[in-house]
Amino acid sequence: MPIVRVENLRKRYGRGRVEALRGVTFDVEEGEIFGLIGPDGAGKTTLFRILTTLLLADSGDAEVDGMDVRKDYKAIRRHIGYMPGRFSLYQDLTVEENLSFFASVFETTIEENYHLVEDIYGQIEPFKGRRAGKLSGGMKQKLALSCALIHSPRVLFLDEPTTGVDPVSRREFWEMLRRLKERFGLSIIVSTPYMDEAVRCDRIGLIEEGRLLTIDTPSGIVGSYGQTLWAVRSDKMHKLLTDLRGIGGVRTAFAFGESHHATIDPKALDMAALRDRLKGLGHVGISIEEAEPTIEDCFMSLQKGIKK
Amino acid sequence: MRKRDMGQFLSFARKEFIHILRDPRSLLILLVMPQIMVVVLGCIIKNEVDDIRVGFLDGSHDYCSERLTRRICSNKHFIGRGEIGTEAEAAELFKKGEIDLVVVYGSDFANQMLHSGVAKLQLLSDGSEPNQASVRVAYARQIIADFQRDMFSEMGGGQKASDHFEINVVSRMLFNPQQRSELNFVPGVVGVVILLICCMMTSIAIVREHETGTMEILLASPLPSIYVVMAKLVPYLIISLLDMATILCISYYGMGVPMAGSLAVYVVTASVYILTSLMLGLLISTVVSTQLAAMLLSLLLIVPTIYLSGMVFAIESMPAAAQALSNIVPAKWFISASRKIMIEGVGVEHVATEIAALAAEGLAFMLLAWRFFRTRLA
Repeated sequence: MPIVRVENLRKRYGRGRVEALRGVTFDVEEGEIFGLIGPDGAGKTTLFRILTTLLLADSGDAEVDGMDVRKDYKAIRRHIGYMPGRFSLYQDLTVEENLSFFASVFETTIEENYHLVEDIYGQIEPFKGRRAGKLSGGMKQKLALSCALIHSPRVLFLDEPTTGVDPVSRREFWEMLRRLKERFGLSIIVSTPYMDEAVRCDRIGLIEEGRLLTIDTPSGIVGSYGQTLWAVRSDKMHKLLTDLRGIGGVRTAFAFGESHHATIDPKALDMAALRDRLKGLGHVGISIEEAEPTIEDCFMSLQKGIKK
Repeated sequence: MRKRDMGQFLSFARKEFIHILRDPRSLLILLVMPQIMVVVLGCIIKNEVDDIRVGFLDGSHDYCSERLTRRICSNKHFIGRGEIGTEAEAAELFKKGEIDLVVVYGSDFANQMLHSGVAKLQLLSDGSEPNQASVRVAYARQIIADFQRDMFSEMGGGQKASDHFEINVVSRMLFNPQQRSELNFVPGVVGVVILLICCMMTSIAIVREHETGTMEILLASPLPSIYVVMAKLVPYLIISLLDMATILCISYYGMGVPMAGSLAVYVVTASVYILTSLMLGLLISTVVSTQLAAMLLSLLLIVPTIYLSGMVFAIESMPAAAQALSNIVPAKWFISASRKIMIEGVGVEHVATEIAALAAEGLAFMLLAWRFFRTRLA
């Protein structure tokens, strides 16, 4: 049985003017890391708040650990750990005071569940007398995760835990999640706007404008890309992007790191012709290579598909 | 409340104390500002009240009135100035500044007191010095109350209900019938300070949890959300009581503000007022979502309170509509009750209306807050 079941959730805000969720359906299996990947405003936070019983959906059903988010909200609140998007601990309380306060809120103690947070809290324990407001971003995040874990929840809801955190801490954070899953069989639902973090999840759902574009394993999503992707470079990268978009037969073109990723309609254009067109437009040092599609490429292509 | 819940509740209240103790600004507002307000007030009040020159207008000349006259004259604060013939004569003496207080006995004083149970007595004072006049009247009231008690016990102490009697004291300030006095401000300051702490600081503290996002975690926890706010009230309740006690000490010992009535009755009244104000703060916190809005809404309530509570302007001289409106201002009831207790020295039965009104309002605020309280974010 899935640990989280979401069926056709809809939610509007502002007297119905803003549609935050337009029918979202997915399941999360027990012991899995499920990633919700999408840009800001896609509806990730709304979805989290409905699942953590903080908001009521307008329609649709959702269950957490077999309990209905509407009727059984009190029971659900005992069994979930929630880390909101914003750092939401008491800045004027010390590291230890925060953790022991949240332990008592959940009717437990640090000692009772120390084994759960040992791996994470152990890293910030040397600073346990420091006020939470004076911690670095990575340390705040570890403390917040410890606080969300201290009562041994069945499911962990992490809303953009890596936003505003340095790359090293981000990587560490994902490793901590992996260990939590392996050691305690914890089910984790995590959202992020960073496409490169998608591969760290067992399965992901790409979400945009309140709709799930696709749900699959990261490799499954990449595998179903179905087109050849070209990495294009020249000396004038900025001009290149505009030029690419102006050439007939180029389906998509967007900046991706050092090069631009483009897809091409093979019936209308081939590589030699593209190179000639670019030369004609004054580009030098042109390089066109086949590229491995990433989750971001898949997202862009799915997004374009929806908009058409 | 189960034992486990109690533990949660206490760790919550403890956390709330830490918030206050670690924030110098809120400490300043909570534990220094109230006292400063009273001290500043003390600096603008004159309160030399020794050598009260007292005259007597005695139409009865019976053994009760004469005994009371002797008693007043022998008090160290009073200097007897003998008999005065008429009220006009008294007014003349007041104008010349030769007298501070006049005791007017009702006709047939002893007989009324011992047989019908109610004797009338009037205290006239000089309203051009309203502050000292209040203190003088309060001193005289204290002596009269002692006298009444002694008479009562001499007579064998009321086994029968018909033995009960009282001296009905009415005080009147000549030249200042509204009895305005700076001393009257002390109950007012307590009233406003409590409102600031209970209403404004409390609602800000609750809303802060929403603003910092911590409420999101607390709501998603098994902690019953009503505990969250109730636990937040505890420190403010304790601090308010502390402020009330220090203000009372400063004004009693430092400024000569009398406590003519029972301290216990005053503390009970103030506690009811504090609880009512806390409920108002709770109610405010349920209808706003930012600290700024909580502060503005509280101020919006506090400013009319200052005008409508009788602290600055006498309610009796307001238009009927404003008088009616003043009835919903909790501070009005508290200030009126504390003036009665502190300055007029009346017993609990005379402030029962005020206490009941405060309690009723507190209950109404609580029910409304309960109604508006959200167990979810929106």
